[in-house]
Amino acid sequence: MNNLDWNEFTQVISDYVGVDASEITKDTDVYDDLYLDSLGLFGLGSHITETYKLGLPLSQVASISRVGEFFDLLNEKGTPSED
Amino acid sequence: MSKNFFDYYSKYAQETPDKVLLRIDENTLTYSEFMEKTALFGSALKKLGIGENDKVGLVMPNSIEWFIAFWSAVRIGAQPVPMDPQSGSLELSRLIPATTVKVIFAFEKYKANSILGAVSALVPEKISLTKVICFADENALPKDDCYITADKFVAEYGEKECEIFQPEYLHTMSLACTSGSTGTPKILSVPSGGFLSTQKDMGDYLGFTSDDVMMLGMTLYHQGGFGMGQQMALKGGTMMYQPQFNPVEFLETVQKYKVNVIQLTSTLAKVLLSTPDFDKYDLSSVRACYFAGEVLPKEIADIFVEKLGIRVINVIGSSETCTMVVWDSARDAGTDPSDFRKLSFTDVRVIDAQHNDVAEGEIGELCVYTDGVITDYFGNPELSAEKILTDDQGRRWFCTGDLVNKLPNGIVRFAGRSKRIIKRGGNLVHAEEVEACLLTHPKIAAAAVTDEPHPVIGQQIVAYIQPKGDEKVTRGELARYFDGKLSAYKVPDKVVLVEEIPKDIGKIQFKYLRKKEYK
Repeated sequence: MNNLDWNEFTQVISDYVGVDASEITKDTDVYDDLYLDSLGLFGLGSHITETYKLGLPLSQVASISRVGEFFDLLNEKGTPSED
Repeated sequence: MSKNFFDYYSKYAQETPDKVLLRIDENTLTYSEFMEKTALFGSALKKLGIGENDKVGLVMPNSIEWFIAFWSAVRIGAQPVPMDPQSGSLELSRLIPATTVKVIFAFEKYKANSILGAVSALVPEKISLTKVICFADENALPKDDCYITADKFVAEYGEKECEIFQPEYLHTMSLACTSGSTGTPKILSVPSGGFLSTQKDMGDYLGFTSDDVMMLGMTLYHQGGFGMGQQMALKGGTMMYQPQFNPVEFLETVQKYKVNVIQLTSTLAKVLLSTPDFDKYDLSSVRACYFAGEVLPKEIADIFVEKLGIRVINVIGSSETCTMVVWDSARDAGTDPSDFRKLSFTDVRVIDAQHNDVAEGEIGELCVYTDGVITDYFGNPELSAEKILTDDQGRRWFCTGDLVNKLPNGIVRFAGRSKRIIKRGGNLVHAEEVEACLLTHPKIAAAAVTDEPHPVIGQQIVAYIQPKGDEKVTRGELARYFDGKLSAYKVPDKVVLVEEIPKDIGKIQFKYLRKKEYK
């Protein structure tokens, strides 16, 4: 477990997608509510992993559809990346 | 047939000597003053040893002095080389040697840029020039003999009489420098006869007369802005430029001088339309608006045509060709302003990478013949061979880098600049299309779209946005706005709010954009 802070996580997402952090919940749909397409999700994925300096396999990012899943995935499977 | 600009200028100087040829703010130049001053400066240049085919640099903003310096060089067969007055010493260190200029006309500064500071960082220690002629006070000049004030220059060397050089048809009239989006300068050899004939033909097409007043949003040091003004000068009319674009002053000037023809870009138009109290200005004198340089969204064209009752002429032209194809509301109303047709004096092909014509319905590169197509890229034979094709009849065709869809009835639909395509994952995104959509957003005054390398998706779409007033625009908001208008993959991945989109020449200047980000 990486012990990520949920509020901080939503702020990082908000900074990237421009949707207010208060509107982001675990159920927020990355496609419909964050207006991302699949490449945009990769873009968001890189932004988040860079911010937290954690690595994730892209294939797992591709299967995400809700913000909560992203949070859980990063929390549980994110491995420290080399700078 | 006349083939020299001075034939026209001399004629009008005799017929209407006191008519204003050029107005910039409250400063004016009449046709007779034009002839007198170009004689004075032209003869002074000659006395310095400047003659046929010698290059004369201009590092000056829009001004009467710019115009006189330019035409004084042409008058003696030398070749003026306008340079961006925002150039710093690094840019000048490339441009001056590449263009082989022998003398430079310079202003002391432009906006925050110290022109003389940039020039004196190079001249005379690193680059040797015969003279730097400065439109500045004596005490602002660097302490070296090669610097001289313009007043002293004409007092010491100038004469009232100066013969007018008679150019051959293909003689290079001037060198135009474009930095493009890459920052590497391209130097264009502009042919005397062809440049004149295409500007005259375009003025004829637009029905310009000697009673007309034209106000240009683009600049004199941009080849397009300069050329469009010449269309009016060749008719004996009046052209007006601004020292720098200011929407309120632009509108006030149009109203005050009852301007008949205005020239804008989409970005400038959007800025104008967002001016507070836009409706209170009397624009009833304006009969035509000329758009060039960017994609013109239909929404903006509609406002001009339907709401303001102004004929809109949207042109694709380039510094290399002059005007190529147009969309003209007088002829093409009801169709999209990105559907262009050739003019009687231009010709069009849509070609593939092997230079073969593509089939109808296909996208290819626009290749254009006009008499004004440059003879070459100065000092760059490889690029000249790549971009300029000569046909069996000896006509020069220019491969524009513009992508168009070849439609029936000779229509070409603009699809974007081939070099402004963003390769986002497997998708190709035309930056212009995204810009056109952004420009219709109610909170956006101006926008510029470019790419940024991305480790995963190759290139991501970055939108630089100048909001109206204190408005804030987020990516999420844009995504909602784009929803239903454009494919999701065309939504900018990153939104950067900037105080101002640098658009000095009327077109977006990407090389300055990144400096403008809000801190």
